[in-house]
Amino acid sequence: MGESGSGKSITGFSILGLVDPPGRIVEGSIDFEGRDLVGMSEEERRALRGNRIAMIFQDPSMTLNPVLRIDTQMIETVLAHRSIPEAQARRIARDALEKVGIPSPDERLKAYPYELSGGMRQRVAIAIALLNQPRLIIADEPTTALDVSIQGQILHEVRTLCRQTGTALIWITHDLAVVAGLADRIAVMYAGRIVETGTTAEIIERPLHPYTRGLIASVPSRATRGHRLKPIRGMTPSLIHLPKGCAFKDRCDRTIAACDEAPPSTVLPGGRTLRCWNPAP
Amino acid sequence: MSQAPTPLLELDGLTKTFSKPVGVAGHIANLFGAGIAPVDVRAVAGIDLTVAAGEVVGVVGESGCGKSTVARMIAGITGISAGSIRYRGVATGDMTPAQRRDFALSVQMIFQDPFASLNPRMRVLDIVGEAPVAHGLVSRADRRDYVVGLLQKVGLPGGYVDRYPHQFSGGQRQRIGITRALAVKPSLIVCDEAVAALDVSIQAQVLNLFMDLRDELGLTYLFISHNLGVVEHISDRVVIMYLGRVVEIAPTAELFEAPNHPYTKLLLELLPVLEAGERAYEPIKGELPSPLAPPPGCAFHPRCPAATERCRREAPVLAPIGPGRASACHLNAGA
Repeated sequence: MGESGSGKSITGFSILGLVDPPGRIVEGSIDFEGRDLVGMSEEERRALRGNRIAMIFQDPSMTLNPVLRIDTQMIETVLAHRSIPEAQARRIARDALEKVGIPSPDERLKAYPYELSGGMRQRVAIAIALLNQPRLIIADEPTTALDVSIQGQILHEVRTLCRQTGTALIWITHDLAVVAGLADRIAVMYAGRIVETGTTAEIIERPLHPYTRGLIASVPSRATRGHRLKPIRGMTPSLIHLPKGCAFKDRCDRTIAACDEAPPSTVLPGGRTLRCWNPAP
Repeated sequence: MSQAPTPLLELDGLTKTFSKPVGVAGHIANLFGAGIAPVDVRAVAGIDLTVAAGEVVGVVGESGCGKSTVARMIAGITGISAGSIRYRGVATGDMTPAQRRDFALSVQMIFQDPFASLNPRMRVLDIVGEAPVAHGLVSRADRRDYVVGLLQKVGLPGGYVDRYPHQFSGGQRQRIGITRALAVKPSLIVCDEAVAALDVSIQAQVLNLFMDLRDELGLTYLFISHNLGVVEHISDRVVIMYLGRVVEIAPTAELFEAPNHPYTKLLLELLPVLEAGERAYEPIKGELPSPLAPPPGCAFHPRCPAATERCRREAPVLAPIGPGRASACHLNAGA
């Protein structure tokens, strides 16, 4: 979870090796099923993408090819990773559509993306992600462009599917409320760094980083009605002109002298991690 | 609710129909007897709503429910197909030129996308200062001071007057959009998803600004949003729209505590809340029907868990169900 410019999408893209040049991974490693994805050849990555690791993007009308029928796009994804007869691939595609709750999947297979609503298109995108039974799905704000009622359906379906198949899910979002009801664990990002991780209950009920606290206080809700919200002051710093030391110190009301130096990520008892010199009590 | 003798704004049977024309090919086909007729879409199908001065009315609905079209009709950007808009008791059709001008200036709109709604080639001085000078509210000589004063009111340094939109962040741009609306001294501000594009921490700042300006300038807001949390925070009354119609109107606290219409109930159940723990989403069945072919009877019946035979035949009307509350549902009449 993070606000715009916090680097959450780039993190997701980096795992799949989808960062456009001149962007590149300069440091660190990505361990997936015991293999380091950094420095892997493009060919090896290609074998993983859409197969062991799948991605769902924010805008389904941008990720589905508008001039190809749904079945063409789905069967292509299956055959790219498995050598099976086309008829069998079609069956897999049909079953995937059924799994994500698309009514009359046989007819929908023959449709073009423009014939489907936004919610249906996103379901098709999810079905494509599920085709090859990935171990990990990275979902980059997949419900942001959708209406509340459709968003609820998609959240519900994705979670159920991942539970059934034992697939791990990284759900990238700017909306704390969405992940609160979905995630087992939350990592909060700010200005390119993970500033806090913990179980959902820990993050929502007992945030330690002043930024997480500020975010939770900024969410309008029943409790805030008729009152002023307590926003975080200032704005997200430009990554080009980050303040020295802790990137959040200019907006923080718990700044101390130590904040002139960047705080390291510390592991707290119980497994939470935190990047702050002076966490909330 | 204030019982002002003359409400600030009254919408009476407000309707907007968009027509898909037959087109050249269609006309030619018709010459050979194809019988292609223009297709009408009722984006807004008869809305009645009264807004008192100083009130904040939230309008909620999913995409395609016509909430933005209502906003654009009130702001005069889109024409009216049927019905009327009365401002301070006078219908827009009966206004004298002076009244019409006063109405046009009194109703200002703030748009969703702060990147698209500011001209990238104009300085803030011109974006904000153009309209008040053109309408004679300030002289050209005083323009700069006037704009600087307004910028400070919305929390931007006055020194920003000579900057271009690209030099600002999203939240700052939205503040400039607000400044532009305030520059002609409006009484009603129509906010169409005005905070939807902003990050949560920035959104909170802008929501606070809206409330401060309301207290300071006595503004009235029509706050259009798909975000129930934002609407619950800011509104006095909430209007729920579905497929071009109002399905429920209620004071905010009552609506959120005791929703009446099945659609409102479902929306509230789906509202993501900041509570840890897995939520069991009971999704609304099916999708928003196309306004091109609205279902017969109650437009919500295909998705409604409590639909009866009557709902499939007959469209319910918006009827009072309590003080200040109205709902359009047959179940209130015992189905």
